Amino acid sequence: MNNRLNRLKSIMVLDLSTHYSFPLAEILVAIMMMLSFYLIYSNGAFSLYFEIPPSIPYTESQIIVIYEQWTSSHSFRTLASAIWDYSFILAFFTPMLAALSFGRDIDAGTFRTYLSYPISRRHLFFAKEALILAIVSGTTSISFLIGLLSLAPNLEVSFPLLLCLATLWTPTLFVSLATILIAITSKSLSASLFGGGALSFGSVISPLIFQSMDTLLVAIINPASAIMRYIFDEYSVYTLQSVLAGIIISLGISALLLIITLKRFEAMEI
Amino acid sequence: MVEPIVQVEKLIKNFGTLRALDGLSLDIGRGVFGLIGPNGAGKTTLLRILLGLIQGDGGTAEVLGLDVQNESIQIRERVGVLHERPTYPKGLTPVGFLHWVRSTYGKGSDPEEILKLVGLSSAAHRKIGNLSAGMTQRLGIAQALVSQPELVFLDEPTSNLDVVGKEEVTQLIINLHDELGVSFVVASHVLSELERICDSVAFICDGVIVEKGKTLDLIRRYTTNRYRVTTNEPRQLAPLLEKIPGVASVRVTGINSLTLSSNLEPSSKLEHEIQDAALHRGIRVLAVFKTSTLEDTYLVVMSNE
Repeated sequence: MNNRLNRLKSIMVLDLSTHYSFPLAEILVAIMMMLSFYLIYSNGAFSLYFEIPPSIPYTESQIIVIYEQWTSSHSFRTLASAIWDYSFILAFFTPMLAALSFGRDIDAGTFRTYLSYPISRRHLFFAKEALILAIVSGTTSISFLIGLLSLAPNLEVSFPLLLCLATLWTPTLFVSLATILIAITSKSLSASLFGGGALSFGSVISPLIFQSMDTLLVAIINPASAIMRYIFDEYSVYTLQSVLAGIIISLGISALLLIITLKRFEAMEI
Repeated sequence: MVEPIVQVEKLIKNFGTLRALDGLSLDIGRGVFGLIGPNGAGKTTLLRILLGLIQGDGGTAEVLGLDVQNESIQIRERVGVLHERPTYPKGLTPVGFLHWVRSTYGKGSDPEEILKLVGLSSAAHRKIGNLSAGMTQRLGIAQALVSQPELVFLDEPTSNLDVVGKEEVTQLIINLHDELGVSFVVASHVLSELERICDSVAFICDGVIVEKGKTLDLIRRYTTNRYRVTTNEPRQLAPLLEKIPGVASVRVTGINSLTLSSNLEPSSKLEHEIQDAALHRGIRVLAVFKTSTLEDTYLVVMSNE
């Protein structure tokens, strides 16, 4: 057991120092941290702009007071807008990291080196995938929750957690697994980068293009959009049910994808 | 043979329509073993199967008494490997990487000591991405040794090394085997090195073992009547020699040499016949002497295939 944990740790440490070494990881985390605050507050300010009649003159200090009042009274909407924007950022970073971690190592032959040591393929897979989730969803979740607490400290706990799961974890899991599957099948960095990227952006943008898309389908491919619908539909119970069902289905698809990807990874000729 | 450390039985491996291993059977005992064959013969495929990196389509293989399909992790805990064209994390230093390798095994030698052993101490703290090809090869040998393995697979260990480097690696293998009892399976094209270090060798061609045995036995068996002729015109001389009764398998082996088999006794009679044939065409024959190298053995064996 100790040996297994040691090897998992070893893979993560090596991956961190190779794929996520300076400047990539540092820049990535810094961007995530900044954006979490920026997106939350900018969306608050953006929404507020349309609430204040432009004809009424306000002083700067008055605007700040109004802004603070608005963000606390409309905190859900502010958050939802922010987190929806966030999904675009993740759509970019998730396939990039998955392609780098798997596609590049397969492409360059580094997997052959790793698997010459007493490391099982399953450990290698889970260590790398866990690191992607930790880097993308873990860091953003922390920064998001910090931003959230500063914005609306009295929010009920369950809703922010749902937002967090829907936006920062479910799509990341799905997109990273799909990108890894592309990397394993194509054994190419560029194919996994473009394939994963296209899939990721497609899922983010399609609810925008197809406005009439069913909420359940939206929740499966881009839960953040579905959350937006829920909030802007004035918290309809029906929409919430669709959102929850979509998230569960999305996680189910990810589980299926995990099984297929793992099987392919274990059978891959290196 | 006493207690084989590698046992391969009727191993088959296909890549699409290409049959890379065609019912290959081989037993390897402790010591230094050479796996010799042309490019695409199946050497690397065999090593990859023995490490569990790919699976065979038929047959069985065991390393250190462990099944390669079901116990590959246990095998890799006890063996070291240097791949052909290896890739290591470019951002790390050799010493940092060896520390990582040691932590992965959970045991092993001091990385600084191993780097000293392979002559890489001076570049221990340089980024791997900045190492020369020869230095990377040395690092490859170092990482194969860091876990103090019982058996080491080396795929083309001296490629990318200069003459001095080749000599050092050859000497290192001899020392490690003599002093620590480490066994090696070496796949290589450089037959002169294999001849010096290998107790036994196997010739592999088109996915099957065509000959195997103790190195000296094979050389003796295949080169008893084998001669090398040095001349200024080997291409013109070859057809003339083929006409001499008792001379066979004439092969041009270089711009000033050819080899042949002869049962003419004594050998002075053969030299006289050769000089005589050359004289008529104004060809100079500089020397005729018996050959007894692994390279000659290899050429004879492969020409029979």
